[in-house]
Parts: sequence; structure tokens; C-alpha cells
Amino acid sequence: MMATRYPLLRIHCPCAEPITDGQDNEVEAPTTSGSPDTGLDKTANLELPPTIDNPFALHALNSLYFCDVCLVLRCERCVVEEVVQTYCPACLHVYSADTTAAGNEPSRVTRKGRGDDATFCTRNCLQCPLCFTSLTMFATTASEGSEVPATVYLQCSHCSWDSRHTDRSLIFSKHSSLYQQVRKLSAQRAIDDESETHDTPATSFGALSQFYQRLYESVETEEAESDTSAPPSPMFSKRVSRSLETIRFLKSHYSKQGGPLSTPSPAITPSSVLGVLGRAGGVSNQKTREHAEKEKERCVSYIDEEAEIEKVSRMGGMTSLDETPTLSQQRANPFVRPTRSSDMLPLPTRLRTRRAKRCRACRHILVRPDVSSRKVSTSSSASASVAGSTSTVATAFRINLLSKNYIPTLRLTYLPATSPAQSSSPYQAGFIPHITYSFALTLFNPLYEPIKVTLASPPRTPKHGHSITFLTPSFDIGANIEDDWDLQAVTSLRRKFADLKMSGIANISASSESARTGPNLGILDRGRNWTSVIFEIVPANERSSEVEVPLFVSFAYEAEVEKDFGSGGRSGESADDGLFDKEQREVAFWSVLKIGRVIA
Amino acid sequence: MANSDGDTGTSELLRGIAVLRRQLSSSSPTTPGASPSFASSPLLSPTTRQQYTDPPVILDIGARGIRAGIAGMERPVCEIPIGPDLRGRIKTHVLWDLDTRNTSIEHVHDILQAILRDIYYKHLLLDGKSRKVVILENPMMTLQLKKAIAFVLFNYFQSISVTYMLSPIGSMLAAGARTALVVDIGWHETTITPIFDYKPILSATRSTLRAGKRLHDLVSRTLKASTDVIPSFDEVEEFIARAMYCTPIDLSTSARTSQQAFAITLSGNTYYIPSAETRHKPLVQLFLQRAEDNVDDIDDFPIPDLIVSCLSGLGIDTRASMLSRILFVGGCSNIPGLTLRILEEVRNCLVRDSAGGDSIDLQKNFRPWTIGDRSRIKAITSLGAWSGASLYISREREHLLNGAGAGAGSGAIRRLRPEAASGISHTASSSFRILGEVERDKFLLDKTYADNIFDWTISTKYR
Repeated sequence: MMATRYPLLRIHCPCAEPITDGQDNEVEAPTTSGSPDTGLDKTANLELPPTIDNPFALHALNSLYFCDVCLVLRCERCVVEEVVQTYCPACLHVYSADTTAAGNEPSRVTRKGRGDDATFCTRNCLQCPLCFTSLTMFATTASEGSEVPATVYLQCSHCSWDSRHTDRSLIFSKHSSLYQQVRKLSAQRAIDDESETHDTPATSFGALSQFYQRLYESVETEEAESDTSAPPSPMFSKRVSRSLETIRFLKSHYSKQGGPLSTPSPAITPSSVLGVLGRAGGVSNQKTREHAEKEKERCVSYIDEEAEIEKVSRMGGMTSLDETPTLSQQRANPFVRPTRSSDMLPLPTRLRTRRAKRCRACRHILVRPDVSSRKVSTSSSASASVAGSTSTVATAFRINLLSKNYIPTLRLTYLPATSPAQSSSPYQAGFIPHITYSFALTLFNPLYEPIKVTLASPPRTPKHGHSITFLTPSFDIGANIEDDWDLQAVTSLRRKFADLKMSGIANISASSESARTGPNLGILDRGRNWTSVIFEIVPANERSSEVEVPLFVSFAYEAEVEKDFGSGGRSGESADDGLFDKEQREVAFWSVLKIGRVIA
Repeated sequence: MANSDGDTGTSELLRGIAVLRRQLSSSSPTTPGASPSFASSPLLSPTTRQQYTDPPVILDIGARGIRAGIAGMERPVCEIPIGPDLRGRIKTHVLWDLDTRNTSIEHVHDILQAILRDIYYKHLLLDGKSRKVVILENPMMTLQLKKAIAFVLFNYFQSISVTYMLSPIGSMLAAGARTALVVDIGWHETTITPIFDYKPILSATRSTLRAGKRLHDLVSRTLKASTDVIPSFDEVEEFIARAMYCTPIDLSTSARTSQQAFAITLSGNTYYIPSAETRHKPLVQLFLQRAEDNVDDIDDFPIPDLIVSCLSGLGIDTRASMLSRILFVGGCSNIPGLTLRILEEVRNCLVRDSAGGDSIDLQKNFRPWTIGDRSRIKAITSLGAWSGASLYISREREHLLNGAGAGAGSGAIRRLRPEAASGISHTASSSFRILGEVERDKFLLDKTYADNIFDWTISTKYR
């Protein structure tokens, strides 16, 4: 289990609460009512969403999208994804691309006819069977004479696995299409290997496939024959009439058996009984059945008991766990399950996808990768592609509605305070119960409009009862208009907090003094598009409980939207005659600040 | 599971008639032949022919892992174990608990959607939108779970439809057989399903708790006893998969090797443990030995006993063919020597030999047909349930697509479906219990449908 790195901000997506199709997954009802100014009152009857502590509902800001039609955050669960492109992560070769804007499935185009290879890079990209890093190709030194054709071997740069030092001492005869060579090897090996109890899947799968195909065909011809011969029955379907016929037939058959032996009627011969039985019981006739029986014997293979015993004694001779590949190594090979560490084949590289994402509620596109592939001529001989040029994957996006461009970014900073116990940051050192810790929460506004933010949190955390106080639940943040906002904000903030840390007690008391009084109550500092506010935590005396602060962030702004000229009467109401209407928008979400742990 | 006590032949006939009747009287999706519901037939819907050109996705969802791939492939594209993920969201190693009271369905939804997301976008490299999905189900799979799987696929992956197929059938098809006694040694349970002529005899299905989970706990205890370290979940699983083997009954071959010490690494330190106690004794103790006083609970029989009791519950004519068609599948069946040892034990139970004194009571049921003929009892090999399903689905699909393309039109298929009574096609309509497909729109909108569609014991007209 990895240790959590504090502080951590997670944003809650309510999509998992009673799942609908996303339509009424708007922000929580109790908090959206009322104006933002009544934030303090709201904290009293603040209702936490039921899934606030479900790890599947909490997301990092970077992994969220924002639907600008629904005005709601969208997580991976409330988007609909479409694969637009597959490419190899090692050589960046594009295997399929969707050039049309339509939503038809693009991967189908190239998947056709590629069969099992469809998910692998079929060029030279191979992975180390031990540690899964990309293998590097080397040419063997031509010691045996220059007339020997060029041969290559593979080596792992991470764990120094070498294809020459395996049981098979793999050396490839060609330096191109290594994938195909490995594929061939893995099919071959299963046949060669005596310890294999059955045929390689490749061959026996093929045999079975053929077997079933023949079975289908025989059924079909049988059906065609029986159709012409069977009498038409208007009342019942043929099968019903057949089963009725069977019952009648059997009745008469058995009644005759019980009685004195009469001359057998020509109808009752073993074969006719079988024939009728077969028709009703699921097998069309005896011929088909016999045929199938014969065929079946060809396909069924029994466990090779000697080989199995040999395998057991080989296992018994093993002295260490390292002689067999690990489970993940065994699972990684898509063709043959390796049984010995010393005899493993290089792995093919799995392709990756680029995907378009839509909002599940309104089908609005949130992410659309740019799939216009560029032709790149390859100069290096290492990647021996079919032609001299290859199309590599693009990294750009046409549309990418990342949430960080639509909702305020939060940043938490610890404010060192008076007592010496608190001088070290509580992220790593942990919290001591019953001591007040102050933090600065800085919100950056990414929007081009000024926003009015309302923060709310329950007075005590739901799980452990740490008390939380926000001095300023409601404040404004300026618009993000100038270009250098990033730099300005960061440097200014840095200077501020550096000052605080250096001069410690005096300064913090002075600054919080100013923060506690006057019009800027609770506001530590403010820049053009950011504001820092103070909040305080008094941890409860609960040993090693996590300090998690559920925080409700709601912000409102006036957005300019294109005027709706379609609805005639409404356009007259707007004050100005421009193309845009002002619209009050409010967006809200829950987040969880994971700050640290309580030490006792 | 009605009417299959006593003689199997008669019951099969009765069942066949019952199926026919149901097909005639109802318009449920289980009736591929009835014209009103033809559009929702599992394997071909003329209205959605276009979508059907995409081969379906086949998912084999087990308690400990998911195998996934596209129909027509030899092997699944990936095999994803269930366990803690990098983001720290999944905390268990199993998808569900056998006791459903301990399983929160919301939790199953969460884990399943996270893992299926990986499977679809990282391994299969496709979106589920235009794909039908075939799920391999254990005969003992709970309805809640089946519903949860369908829910996740419909909600998060927009699958067109979900179809359930019995996993033992898949295993049997991948062995090329039409009759088999499928012994699935899984995680929570070992399930034995007899299949005769493509028809699963579900009334004779038996299960025991002697399976992977028990083995895991036992090995964990054994390792702790010999090293004084509590091994992690993964360490135990690795040990079981990589080091364990089962010895034949006569220990002459392995007596020598069992003296050796075996080196394992637990939490960074290397330990030398005695081979015999840790590497094969737990297997014997768990899967083969009866309880001390021979009072195993009804869900707790050793596997050989369970096989014998399952066979004794079958009709005379089915038994005989089952004997040479025992098929071992499931995670634990990969342990070298285990299937052979179980087979030996079954032979010892069934076949009377000179030293018949210590054979179990069940033997008397089998006297007529097994005297002295040990080699009749045989095990067959299979490519696995996933491959079997892939074979069947791809073959069926191809067949239907070709049939329609040959100019006969959909009418020909319609005629063919109920008529294709023999062999494999017949099984598609009734015995395979491919229950028609569960359709997305119906499932999401109609609550009664969603609640009842998976329960095949409910008569079709209520579904």
C-alpha cells in the first residue's frame, strides 16, 4: 500500500449516486438554493453527499472534464468514450485512424482481418518478458564470417535480460518484423515441447473451429433433406408434431414389447426407433449422429498422464520459487503461458488508444483528439517500416474541456503558528489533537469573468469530528484577463509565505490580525485572479485518524451567452443591443481536502 | 431445474417438450424461432444486422479475475486479476463474496466498472457502444451478480445487449466433446456440472467449498507456521501458482524430492521451508481428505467424493459416457498433478479391486459397470471456457451471416433456427440456456424486466 502524500485535493463527482443517465446529476439540491451570501447559514444544515467517502467518486482535478452545456463536472464514469485511434506507444505508429467526424467505430476498419494481432504492434516493438520494458535490438558480431546473414538479438536495458541467454538462445534471422518471428516461435514451441499435455491452442483451436463448421454444415444439409420429406402439418410446427409422433410411436412400441411376440411390423426396427428418437431428442438422424460421434473422437484429447507425472516430478525437483515465472509474467504473454523462467519469449507491445469523450447527459463532445496524422519520413534504419515513411500519432486535441479551465483551482498552504510543536508542517509530522492549525486556502480563477465564491463545510468532519472553521465563507475573485497571471500570482504568493515562515509568530499574528478585522475579514491576501483565505482545524483526539475536510465550493459569475433570437419576445428585454446576453451562472461541487493524520 | 429426477432419457424428452411449448406460447427473447420476437433473437436480429458484423465481446468474469476478448480469437486478449489498484480505490482481492450479505452491490459496480474500463480501453482497444457482450456464467452465479454485471455494461459501456452463457458449456465445447462432467475448481466454490449431449443437467450440479479460497487460507497458515511471517495475499497466490504440485498416490517417485528445502522470499527475506509440508500436503488435505470422523458438511465434500456423488445422481445411460469425459477447469486445476490425483481417487472410489475394503460406501451404486476397468475413467483437456465460447459464438455468427448472405434471406434463417434441431444449433435454442439477450433499453427502463430477466426459473411469460 502506498503512503498517501499530503495534502491531497480530491473532487467529488456525484454521478454514482442513484445512477440516472446523467440528466439530474446536477449539484446537490440543498446547497444550490438561496443566494451565495447566506453561506454561513448553509453550513448549519449542510448535507454531505452519501458517497463523499467512496474512493471511486473522488477524482483529481486533472482527471475531470467540464461540460459547458450542463455546467457540471464530468468524471470518467459520466462520460461516454469512443476510440478514435490506436497507436503503438513504443514506435508511435498509428494503426487506425478515424478521419471522419462521424461517430462510427473506427477501430473496426483495421481490426478486420487482423484477428488476434489487432491489439499488438506488429512491427519491431517487443517487451522484456521479465520487467516489461522495451527491448533494444542489437546485431550480433559477425564472428563466424561475413557471409552469414545479418542476425539480431534483443536485450533489456533495465534488467539486462538477453534473448541469447535463454534456454532457446534466441537469435533472430531478420531484423524486421520481429513480432511475426516471435509469434511463429511461440506457436512452434508448444508443439515441440513434450511437456505440453495438449496441442498448442493455435492448432487445436483451428481443428475445433473446423470441426464445428462441419457439424453446422451437416446439420444444414440434413435440415434441407428433412424439409422435403416431412409431411406438412398446418397445426403444429414440425418439431412439435415430431415429438408427438415420437410419443405415439414409443407407446405402441412398448405396448407391443409387453405382449406376446408378434411378427415385427416393418416400422419397428432398431434403426427406426433410433431415428425417431433422434429426431425428437435433439439429433436429426442417426447418420448425423454417427458422423458427429466420429468427428468428436477426433477432437477430444485425453490428459496425457505420463507427461503429467513427469511435470510433477520436475516440479518436485525445484528448489526455489525463482525457477517459475511470476503470475504477472505468466499472464503477460498472450500466446503461450510460460512455465519456466529460463524459457520465456519476448512479449508484443500492446497498442494504446486515443479516445473522444462525450457528456453522458447531453452528448456534447468534451474531448476530441486531433487525429490528422502526419507523414514522417524515417531516416533511421532501425525502424524498418514497410515504406520509407510512416504516420506517427499526433498529440494535439481539437476539443479538450478540462475542468481546470472552468473551475477554481485550490491550493492549500500551512501557516506556521505560535507553539513550537506546530513549527513543522503537519502534512508529514501529523496533527496533535486539540491544537489549532491554520491553513491558507488559495483559489485561482481560470475564467475571464470575476467570480463570487462561497465555501461551506460542516463544522465538524463527519468521520472523526475534527472541528473546522472558515473565517470567510464568501468572497470575490477577480477575472483572469492578463496573460502573465500565472507568474504574478505564484511569485507574489511565494514571497508572502516565505515572509510568514521567516518571521514566524510576529508576522502571522500581525497578518491574521489584519485578516480578523476590517472589511477583509479572514482574507489573508488577494491578487488579480486569486484569493487566499484562512481556515482553521482543531483535530479531535482520535489516534491516527485521517484529517479530511469535506468542502463545498460554489461560485457564481455572469457569463456572456449568444442571444437567442429564436424566441422573439425575450430579445427585447435585454438592455444592450449586442449579440450577447448576460447570464447568471452558478457552478458548485464538493471536494475533499486530505491534509494529514492525527498523531497521539 | 424441474423434472429431471430419475431416468435422464425421459426427463430430457419432457424437457424438450416443455421448451417447445414455451416457445410456442410465449413471445419472450428465449424463442429464436417465434416470429414476433425474432428481432430480439440472441444471435441474429435482422433489424440490427449491421451491428452484428462486429463480433461480440466475451467476458469471463470470475471472483478473482476477468478474462476478456473478442469472439473468434483463440485466447482471451487479457486476463486481469482483481486486486488493489494504483489509485488505491480497490481494496479487496475478490469481486464478490460467496455470502452475498457481505457483498455490497454498489461496491461490485464500482470495481467492475473500473476494471472493465481498463479492459475495454487498454486491452481490447474498443468502446463497447456497438458491441454485444456475452458473459460466461457459473451455474451457481447469483442473480444479483448477473444483474450487477448487466447494469455496469449497459450504464457505463453502452453495450447493445448482454447474453449469458453457461461457463461449463464453454469448457466442454473447447474440448470438442458433446458430453462431459465439468469440474470447475474456482475461487469460492468447486462446481461440478454434468453435460449430456450439449445439455447441462443442472439438477445434478454439485458444489463444495473446497476451492481456491480455502486453499489460500490453508497455505497462508502453513507458510506462517514454517516462517513466522504472515505472508501477503499476493505472496500466497504466487506460492500456490508457482510452487505447489500434487503427488500421485504412490509416493515412490516423489519421496526423494520431498526432503529438499524450498527457498521462498517473503517480505524481502529468504526462507527455506520443508517441501513436503508446504508444497503438496495442503493440496491433499484440502481437496482430497475427508474430515476426521467422515462428517463433511453437505457443502464441504472432498472433490473425488463429490464427483462420485454427482455421478450417482445421474441416470444410468448418462453416467457411463460421463466417466470417460471428466473435464477439469478453473484456476486450481492448473496445479501440476492435481487433476491426475483427483482422477486416481475417483478411480479408487468407483472401481472395485482386490483390496476393496477401504473404499467408500458410495461404491455400491456403481458396481454394475466399473468392475476392474480403471482405464475407462478418463479426463479430457480443454482450451478453457473462454475459448469455447469464442468458438461457439464466432461459428454461430458466421453461420448466420453466411446463411443470410447466400440469398436465402431472413426467411430461410427463420425457418432454419427452430429446425436446426441437431447438434450444436439445437443447444443454442434451448439447452445452452443462452437466454436470449438482455437488451439495454428494456433493462434500463423496465424495472420488472430487469429484476426478472436473469431468473430462468421464472416462467418466460413473466419475464
